[in-house]
Amino acid sequence: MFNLNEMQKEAIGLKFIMSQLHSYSPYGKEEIKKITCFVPGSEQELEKELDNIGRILKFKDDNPQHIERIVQCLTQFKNIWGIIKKIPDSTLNEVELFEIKGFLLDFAVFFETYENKDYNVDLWGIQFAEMTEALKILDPTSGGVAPFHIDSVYSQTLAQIRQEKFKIERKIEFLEPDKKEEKERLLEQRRLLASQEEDEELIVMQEITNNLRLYLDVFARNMVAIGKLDLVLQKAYLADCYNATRPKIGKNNISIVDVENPYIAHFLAQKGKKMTKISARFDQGVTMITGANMGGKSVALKTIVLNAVLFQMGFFVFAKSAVLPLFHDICLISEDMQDVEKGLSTFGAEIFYFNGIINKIRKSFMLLAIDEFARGTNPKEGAGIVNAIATFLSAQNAISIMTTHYDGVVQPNFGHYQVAGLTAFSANGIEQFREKAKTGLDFITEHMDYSLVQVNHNTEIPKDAVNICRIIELDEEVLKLIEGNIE
Amino acid sequence: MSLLDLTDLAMPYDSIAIIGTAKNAGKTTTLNYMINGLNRKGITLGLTSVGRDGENIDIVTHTPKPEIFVIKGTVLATAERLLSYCDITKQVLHIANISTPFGRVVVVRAMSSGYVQLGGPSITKQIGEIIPIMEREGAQKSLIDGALNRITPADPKIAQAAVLCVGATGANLQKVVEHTQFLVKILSLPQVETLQKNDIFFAGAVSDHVLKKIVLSGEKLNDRRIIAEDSGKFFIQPQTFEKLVAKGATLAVKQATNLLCVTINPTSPYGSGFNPKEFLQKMQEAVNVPVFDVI
Repeated sequence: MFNLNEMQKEAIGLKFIMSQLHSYSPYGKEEIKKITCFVPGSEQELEKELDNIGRILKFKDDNPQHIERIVQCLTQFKNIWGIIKKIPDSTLNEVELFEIKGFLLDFAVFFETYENKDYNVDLWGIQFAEMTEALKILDPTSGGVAPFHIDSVYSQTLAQIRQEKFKIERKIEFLEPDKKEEKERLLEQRRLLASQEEDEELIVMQEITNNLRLYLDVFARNMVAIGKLDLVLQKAYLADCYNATRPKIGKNNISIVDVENPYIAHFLAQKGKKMTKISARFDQGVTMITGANMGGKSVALKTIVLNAVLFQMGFFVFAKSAVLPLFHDICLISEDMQDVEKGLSTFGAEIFYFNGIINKIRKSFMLLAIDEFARGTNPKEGAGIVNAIATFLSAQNAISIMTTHYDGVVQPNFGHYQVAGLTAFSANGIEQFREKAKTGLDFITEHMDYSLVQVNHNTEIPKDAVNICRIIELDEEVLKLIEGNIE
Repeated sequence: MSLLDLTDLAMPYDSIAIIGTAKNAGKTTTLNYMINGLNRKGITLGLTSVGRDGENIDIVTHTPKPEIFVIKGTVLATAERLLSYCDITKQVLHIANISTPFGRVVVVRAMSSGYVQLGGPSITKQIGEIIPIMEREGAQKSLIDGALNRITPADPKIAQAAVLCVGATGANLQKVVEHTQFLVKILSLPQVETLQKNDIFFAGAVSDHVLKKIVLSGEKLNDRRIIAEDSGKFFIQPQTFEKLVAKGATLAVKQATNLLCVTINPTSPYGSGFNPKEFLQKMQEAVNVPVFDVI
């Protein structure tokens, strides 16, 4: 998906989300593997995909039992792609024909269920064509049962050979045990007839394959449609699970309210903690997210990227509301992309990667998420580099979101958010926390507010570190020196 | 005792494994005899085999003709690619989710009499999945063609009873009889109902190596029981067995095998074979189950 590598897909939670999709049919599984991103210009198609998810969710609420019936049908399907692909240039054998018949029988039940006039599911781009005629080829007597054999009704010659063979088999069965020569003679006759039967069966199988060839296109279209239906059901299931929202398709900015990352929430829940929801707006140009270390800047960035990617893949998003545009590409520059094998330093890797996408940034509409760029350099150089990169990006046709803990890199034309941080300390005075500090330092994380607050471009990064020094009553002489240095 | 008794012995059981000590043990002859006898009693049979991938593929594909003959109505579970070696009119009933070196295991019904080639699951455990499918398709009794040189298909969890086939391998009749006597001993190990404090119990396979260690440990084994899940789990050499017994240990199993009989094939394509009468007599003296000459 876009330019994200495996480590990044893992880090932002995309792998976690994809692992939640459990297709009902082998065709759904194929579709999940093939998911591609909607690109600028395909807004209408994306609307239809989102419509489909919405329709399924509504339909599920209105007719839960009917959805269950459809799902039940989907779970019956076996994967016959391999056999269908053989039809154009080979003759199918009995086992393969059995499998196709099985598919057609399952499909007949599915078709009747799905097309039930009392329940109109009606999804964009997902249509099924009846296959009764194809089934007739494999079920000439309309028995409607799964077993398959080359029925004698397919060929008069075959029927005659079998009749003759049957007579001899009866004779063999009732032959006196001592008539060995007679038995040998009958067995030889039978062997000849069995060989003729085999030849004739082959002719019939060739005919059946030829007749099925006419329906190749219908098979393929139905199988793809089954997969697509399965995928929409999975997307709806996911939306249901996480209470996701249908995103609106915007043009030049991202605007999200109370967005979450289920992957990070999952880990926090294991520790008995809750993820803070984030709300923010990112316009074309640069938005800086600042805040002290451990302030959740990376979490905010990963959450935004995850939701943007899912939106582009045609999923609902994990937010109360969201407006997002379609990007040509989404890039994330973060510590999760370190090219360890090439032996580059963190900074080297960042610059190498940035340089690699620079032409793309110039030419296309991108979402660029940059986490603590140049963190591995000295602060003076780092701030200078971040400043320069931000200046360049602010002039591009891209939405760039950068996190940093360097001071003085936010320019007046940038958006600026701060992770609220240890606001409780300044609001309530630090004295009351001193008692708590004596029993342990957990209170620091407990009072950490990870929400994003929109601030002025010149708002300084909160001096939470000094506050912590004060709360844990750092030696007065040292504390004074620190305060003297900072204020 | 006449051969007729072989079929009668099988009557109380729903699934019977036919196992052989070596090539040319008369396994197929025994199988055909049982098929014939049970068919005459009006029983619809289910047929499959197990563990054949130990045998060379050539054995299956280069055989001039398959040697197992079935009648109309018989249900069989065999590998996909062996179906073309079956000259019955076939009805495909089910494809099991079990793969073998010859493709997936397919359950078919014989819509005519004819010769079939069996190639069922490779793993004994998977037979447990196949038998219920054959029963669902109408098989009243299942016969399992076991692999050569392996007694694992006689696992009582899989087959309710077993038949052991012995051929005239090598030149020494006495050796064959002794070897069979030992196998029968192992296959007839007594069943224990509850484990006792002093028992040495093995949850899985018991190698000869492990048992030798027990012998060499110098530990007193008086009245101690060495117990495995079933006979097929004991991979033990006769010498080790004797030593354990000499030290006072008894071997037992949690689930005993119903060994119905031993069948012998005195002829040999490689040599002169054994004297049928002598072979039968010596074998009858050596084992405590019925012995039949199937040739």
